[in-house]
Amino acid sequence: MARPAPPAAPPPRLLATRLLVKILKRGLPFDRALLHEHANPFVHELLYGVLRHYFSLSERVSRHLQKPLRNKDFDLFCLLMTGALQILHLRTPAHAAVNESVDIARRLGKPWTDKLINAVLRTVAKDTFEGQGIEAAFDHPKWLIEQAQAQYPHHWHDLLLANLTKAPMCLRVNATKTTREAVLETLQRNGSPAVPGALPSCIILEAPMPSEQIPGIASGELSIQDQGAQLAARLLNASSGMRVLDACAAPGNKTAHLLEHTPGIALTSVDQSESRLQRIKTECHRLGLPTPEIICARFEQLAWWDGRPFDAVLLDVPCSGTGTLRRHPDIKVLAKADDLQAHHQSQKRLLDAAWRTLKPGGKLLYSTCSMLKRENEDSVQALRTRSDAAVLDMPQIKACGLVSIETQSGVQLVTTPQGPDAMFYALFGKRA
Amino acid sequence: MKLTVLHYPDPRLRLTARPVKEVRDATRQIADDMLETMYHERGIGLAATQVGITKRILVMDVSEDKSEPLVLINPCILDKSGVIESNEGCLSVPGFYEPVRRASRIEIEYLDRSGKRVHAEWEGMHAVCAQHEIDHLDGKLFVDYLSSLKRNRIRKRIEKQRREIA
Repeated sequence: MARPAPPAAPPPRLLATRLLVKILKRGLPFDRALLHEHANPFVHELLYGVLRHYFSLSERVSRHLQKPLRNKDFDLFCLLMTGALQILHLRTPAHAAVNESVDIARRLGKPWTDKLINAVLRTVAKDTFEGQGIEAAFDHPKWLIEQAQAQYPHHWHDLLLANLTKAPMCLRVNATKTTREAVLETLQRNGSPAVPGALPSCIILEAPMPSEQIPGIASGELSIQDQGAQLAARLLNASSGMRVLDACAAPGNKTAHLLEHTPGIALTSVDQSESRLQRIKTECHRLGLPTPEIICARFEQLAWWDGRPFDAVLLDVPCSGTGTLRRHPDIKVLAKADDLQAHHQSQKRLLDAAWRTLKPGGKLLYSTCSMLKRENEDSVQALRTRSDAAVLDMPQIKACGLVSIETQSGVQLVTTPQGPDAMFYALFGKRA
Repeated sequence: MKLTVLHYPDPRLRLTARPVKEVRDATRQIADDMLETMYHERGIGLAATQVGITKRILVMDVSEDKSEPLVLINPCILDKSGVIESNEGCLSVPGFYEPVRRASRIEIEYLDRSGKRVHAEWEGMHAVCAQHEIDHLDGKLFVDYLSSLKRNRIRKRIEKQRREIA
């Protein structure tokens, strides 16, 4: 007798439907859903697609329901959105999408829904209605659209639409191990063409691929990191021998880049999440870098600090993540306008504490992955008006050619198709 | 020595095996070769019929780490009870898994490798595997429990695979 087969992988559409319910109703983080053991590229495409187009899909599906579905049929709603996505965005013929969806509904234990699925998806396919109202038109929540309109009166429209595109896959070259030219050559030989990015450390893959298939990841020559985020180490521009602080360090992408960019710095990495700090150690080990001093503490309370000031501080604060909506489309659906105020308050506290750890004559880089003023310019406003703080120039951003907007205190990168995430940077010097 | 496993629908799989008269070194050699073959094919049970030997010998190891090899000579089921359905596969029907219902508990008697009589009660995977293998000794395969539609589909696929290899 043969060894019994392991349980078969669930069909992708069923898995996607189940994961969507968990993401939208039960707080499963999107990143964790992507890592599900049976999540293949098609499941990823369905998850990204439904969340990216959530507002238009949910409106178009709801419109054709005679009465709203009960709460316990939310799985059916997710199934219908998945079906509508395939018809409207993935070029699946309507009959195929209907057929598959009916099949999945049976597996969900809801065989009574076949007429409903037929009716809704076939009308979605025929209908020229594209949703009414601005949420469906731009596939963003109203509060976010309003903020974007106020902040970017001429470009909000392009910026929001860029959030609906697929993000490019960017790699960071470990300068302590290899050169960009060598990596480009290896990738070319490996049949995965890539082009140099805007920054000297950056490579953009022409077609995304699973990280474990990229030569150089396991051997520590490459890391996955967006172009915009790769600016941090260059802007801080520490030099060997300096005492450097990474204030909200986990999971350690920027910490590792600081060490790659400037060997010989004495780096301290602080974060309050023990489990995420663990990843810094594995990351540094993989990249062949010295492990920094790692401290698990609430940064802003400064109880962890021995009072010895730092020459340079990187403060990459927790934020709404609205600059990364291409990679985290779940934020559009789950984040609320009120969250901004909470982030803003905690950002001000963190900045205040970070400033105190900085040596006179030293410099502090504030960064977020948010596109919103409330978490960027507004959060650094108080520091800008202090008498011992000076706003420093960041010529590196202009030089690299990424699309950016100068604000009073810093620079806002914006998302363009194939461009970087919308990061914000502000660099301050402390007067001696 | 590793032996060759016959594949369905080979007619030799339909032969009824004869009891072993006396457990000798030659019998033990067959059992050892069968264990080697079973481990190599990543199986959990193998009957002598499957390697073209018409003697009532079978080997089993349902553990994950090859730690519980069993040799059963002239096995005989004395009692059966309960029902269990499991997805069965067979080294003679490679690549196919289908649900089969069997007794969930059996009382069994056999001679072990040294020729000593053993009486045992088995449940779960042990019970399913022993019934599957004893069927082989009587010329019966798990596909016989399926509908003729499913059985014919499996046979056609296997014959097609063989044509493609040849």
